[in-house]
Amino acid sequence: MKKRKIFWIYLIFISLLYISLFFFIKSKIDISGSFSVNPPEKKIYLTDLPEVMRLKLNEPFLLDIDYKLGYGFASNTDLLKINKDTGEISFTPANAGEYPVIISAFKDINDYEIKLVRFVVE
Amino acid sequence: MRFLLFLLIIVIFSSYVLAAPFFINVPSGTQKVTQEYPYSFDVNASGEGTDLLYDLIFPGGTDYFAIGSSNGIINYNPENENPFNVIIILINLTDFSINSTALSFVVNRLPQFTNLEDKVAINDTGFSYTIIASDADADSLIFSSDNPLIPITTIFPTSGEISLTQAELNSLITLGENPISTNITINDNANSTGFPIDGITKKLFTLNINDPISFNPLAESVAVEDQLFALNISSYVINKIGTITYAANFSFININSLGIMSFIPSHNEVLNSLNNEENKTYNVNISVIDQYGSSASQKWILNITRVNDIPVCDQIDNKVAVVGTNFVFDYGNNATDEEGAVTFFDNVAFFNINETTGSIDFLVNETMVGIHNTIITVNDTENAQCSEQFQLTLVGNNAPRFPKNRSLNVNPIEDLYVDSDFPNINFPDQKFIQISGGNTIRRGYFQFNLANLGNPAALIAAILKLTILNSSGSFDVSVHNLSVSNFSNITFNNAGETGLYEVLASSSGITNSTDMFDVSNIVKECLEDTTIERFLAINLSMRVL
Repeated sequence: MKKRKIFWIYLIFISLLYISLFFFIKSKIDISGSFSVNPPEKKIYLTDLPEVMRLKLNEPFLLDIDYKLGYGFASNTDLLKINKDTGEISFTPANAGEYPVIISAFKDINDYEIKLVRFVVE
Repeated sequence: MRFLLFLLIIVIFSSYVLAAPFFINVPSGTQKVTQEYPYSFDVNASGEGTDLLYDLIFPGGTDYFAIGSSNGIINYNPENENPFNVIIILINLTDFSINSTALSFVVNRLPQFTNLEDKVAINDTGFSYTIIASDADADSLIFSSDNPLIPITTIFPTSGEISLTQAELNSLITLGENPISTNITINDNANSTGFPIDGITKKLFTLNINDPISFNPLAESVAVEDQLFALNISSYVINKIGTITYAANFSFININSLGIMSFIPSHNEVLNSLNNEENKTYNVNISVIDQYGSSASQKWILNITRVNDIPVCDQIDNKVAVVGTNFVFDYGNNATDEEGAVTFFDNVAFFNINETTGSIDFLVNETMVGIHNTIITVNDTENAQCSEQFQLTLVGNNAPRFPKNRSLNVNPIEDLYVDSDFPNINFPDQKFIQISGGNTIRRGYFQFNLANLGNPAALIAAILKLTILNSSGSFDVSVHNLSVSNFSNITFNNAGETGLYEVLASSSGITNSTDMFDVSNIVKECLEDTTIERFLAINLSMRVL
């Protein structure tokens, strides 16, 4: 009986540890790995964008986003310029730091896609 | 045991899934808003107040409003904007999970007045005014008036009409409602198409009611040819409102914006009458209209009295002629009369001017020698006349004289030589041209002494012609301050003009041997431009009895 109790305590502890590790890794680790394109060699589908993109300070960054035909592009920030028709992004980071940016491909209010990309400027 | 294990897995999985924020209260679909009516919404989501962030994306590229990043509050003042879309985003800053919803905004734009302005009603014909408006959404508009005394009728889709009869205008005056104002409202009735708020625009309208303009009778008037006639028409106009326009149906009658009529009747205004009448009568139609369209007019009888103008005689220069030659002079084109033909007369016995043409042409003989004060008189058809006097000097042909038409061409840069130009007469003191000064201003002096003429007192006429030429032979110099000393009885023809100068002296001015023609400053400034070679040609002739 005592062994079973110890087992359950152990199991709950291991579970909590796993949960903590999960969120720690999720918040601190670049899950998809670094991604930097300059100049863009090809179009990158919006949903294929990595969650983290690492950029170099004061170096122009170019990115060409692709999505389904008939969609326009926009973002939630003036930090970077995005061509609403072609999806081209130009961005020259002037300050180091991390910038979460949401990029959208929009057709109508019932048909759109958004993607959050964290630009890490180093 | 197995159940607990399953429950543990569910808890672990749920903790991951529930990390994504989700909306609790958010607008959706199409938001219909009205211009200038504020729109507000408080978006609520799970986790608000912790690491949750609200943000917006406007797919059209224009940001129309913002959202409180932490509280999700939207405050939007709709303007004249096209329909647009917006994506509302939730961001969990802990794990960067996101959620979103998209909606549309359609703005009902306010109707606008096109022509509403204050008006003046003239209290004689009633009043009607069509008010036109426009609506950017092509809504049909409903017109209304706050004041029941000024009702307005809606004329679909975008017009309204105020119409008041003369009796209604009089009623308003009786009620003391003059001027009268009301707010005119236009309503786009947007509620009927699903908008919660109608688009409403109001504007104050004021109506003034005035009596019609009237025009008191003008008395028959008389104007005189060539004399100013003035009459204040404005003083005859009653109930003037605003800017008044005056008009007469004859172009020579001018009435200015102040209502002052003024004109000077010319001979042409009388010529149109029968030739034998002294007056010409015009039936003039004079009209006045105010800026609100009230007008009045009347016939006005204007009599213009003709005045005979005396002929005009041009001045005649003194003349010289020599025995044995014809004296020819045509004065016909130098006397004019406004009314028509003139006739010419003279006071000299030995010739007669042609009465019709005004020309004089006769052969000078020895019996005519002398100085004759000649008067030419010009009469018009009504015996009004002018006259002009000149001195006609007739000299004998055996008198000593200077060679006629001798020209002395002088290059002003060189010294002058004169003696040989007058071989028949010794002029020991003569100095014809002296050029002094630098290269910029040159002056020519012409002097000669008449002492050696033998009998200076017998000299009755001397004609000195000075002609200033440039190298191309045309007159192009300025001559100033032509002056002559020692002779009191000298006249100048064309004095002050460029070109030919003629000096005529009579014997009465020549009294002693020191008398001289001293024509100074005659070529002043004529040679400022030294790049052009100029010459002074002197043509001197003198006749001595």
